[in-house]
Amino acid sequence: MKVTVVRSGGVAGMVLTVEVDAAELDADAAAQLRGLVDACEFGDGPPSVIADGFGYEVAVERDDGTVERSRFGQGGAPPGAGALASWVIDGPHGHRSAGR
Amino acid sequence: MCATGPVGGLRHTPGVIGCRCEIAPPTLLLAVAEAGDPDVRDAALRTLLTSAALRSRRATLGPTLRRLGLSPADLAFLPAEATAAGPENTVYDVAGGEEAALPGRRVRGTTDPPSGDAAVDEAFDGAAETAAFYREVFGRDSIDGRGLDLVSSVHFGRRYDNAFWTGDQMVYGDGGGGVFVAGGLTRALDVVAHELTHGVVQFSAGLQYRGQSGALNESFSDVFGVLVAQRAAGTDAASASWLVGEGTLEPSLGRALRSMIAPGTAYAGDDQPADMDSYADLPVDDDPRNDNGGVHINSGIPNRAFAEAARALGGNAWETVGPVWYEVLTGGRLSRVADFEDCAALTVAVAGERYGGGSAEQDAVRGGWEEVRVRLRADPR
Ligand SMILES: [Zn+2]
Repeated sequence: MKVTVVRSGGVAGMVLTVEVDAAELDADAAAQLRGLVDACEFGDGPPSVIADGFGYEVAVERDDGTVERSRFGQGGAPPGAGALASWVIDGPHGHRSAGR
Repeated sequence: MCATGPVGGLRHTPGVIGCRCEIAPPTLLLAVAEAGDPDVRDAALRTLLTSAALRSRRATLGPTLRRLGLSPADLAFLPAEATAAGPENTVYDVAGGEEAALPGRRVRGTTDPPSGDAAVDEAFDGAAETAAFYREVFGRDSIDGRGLDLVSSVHFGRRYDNAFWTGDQMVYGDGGGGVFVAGGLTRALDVVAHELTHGVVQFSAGLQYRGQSGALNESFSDVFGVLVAQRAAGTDAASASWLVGEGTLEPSLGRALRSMIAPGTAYAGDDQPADMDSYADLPVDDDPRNDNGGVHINSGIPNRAFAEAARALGGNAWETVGPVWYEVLTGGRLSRVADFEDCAALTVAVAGERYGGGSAEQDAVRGGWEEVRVRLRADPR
């Protein structure tokens, strides 16, 4: 399973992409990730209505190739999607890249 | 009783403002506002907001307004808060909380000494400096032009790499999340003034945050953001770096968020175009990669038009081209959906009104837009 989070906007206006591959994680971190994915309600939330609010896309690719996706603005995450996005972006496990 | 005032929109109702009689308890009015038919709802809301505003000043009402789906603009019927002392300047600590926890705990007010927390004191000083700029340079009374109190919350989220204007207050993360250096967001006066200028844009031209009007919204924030910093530092147009947020990024990423004079050169991966030939024609959709149609990308084009005009004239940019851009933003002629050509035509017209047709200033403004290859229509006069 791979989880990819794209975060754009903000005052910096940068696009940040962070990818986590469950196969590269230790058992504890992999279980945490699975728990967050299971708790995530996919589907879209409202876009940010404020200038320089972040925009997000969270995509989960399962081992069988199916993909689930959620897009939302800062403060508008569907249940579970915000926690999953923060874990991926702020945690130590992601591969980060900048650019569109 | 006061709650049965005239019905209609939330407009100024003289009898309500001056009312000194007993009013219904706020909780009852809130229940009425949330449950009543539209006319009753409006009357209850107006009474509630008026009494609350008279007690506690309008800017502290942000959370209540948001719950009711209103913005500070809906309180325009209240008397302006202008006083000789200027607007109140208050900083709150939201202590790692996010939207639901705003504004947080009050930690510094207008007349309080420095708190010792750098984020608190920088947010305080940045708001004061920005308000002083608008008052002293353009005679504007705070963000809304009507004395709106300055409210800032610091320590938003954890290692949060953003600062933003919510529609009624400033919010700052601590940075340190991989993009901004820790403390960078409050330390940079041009970033603080950029965000507060989003408030000025909201209360003036109200440029839609998508496509070219959104890129203009971003550009006005960069323009006045750097002008606030240039004036505070006494830097003229020739010696200015024209960088936005210099030193705020993790050094491995680059030296600044944007370069107004050389868009696309501020950091590794900066993809701002420097002129219309490389305009990024991105769709306006919900894909975050498209940035609402490139609002932070194509803003480099009007940014550079301004910087080129200011450099051509020399002197202090806030005294030369700045007043032209300010009149365009606030003078009522720039549409919410203006594009680059609309903005360019207006700046040339306003430069002519202010400095004379064929003046050096008007030539410099026209030259700035020519430099970035924005088409100038036939003289709008
Ligand atoms: Zn902005």
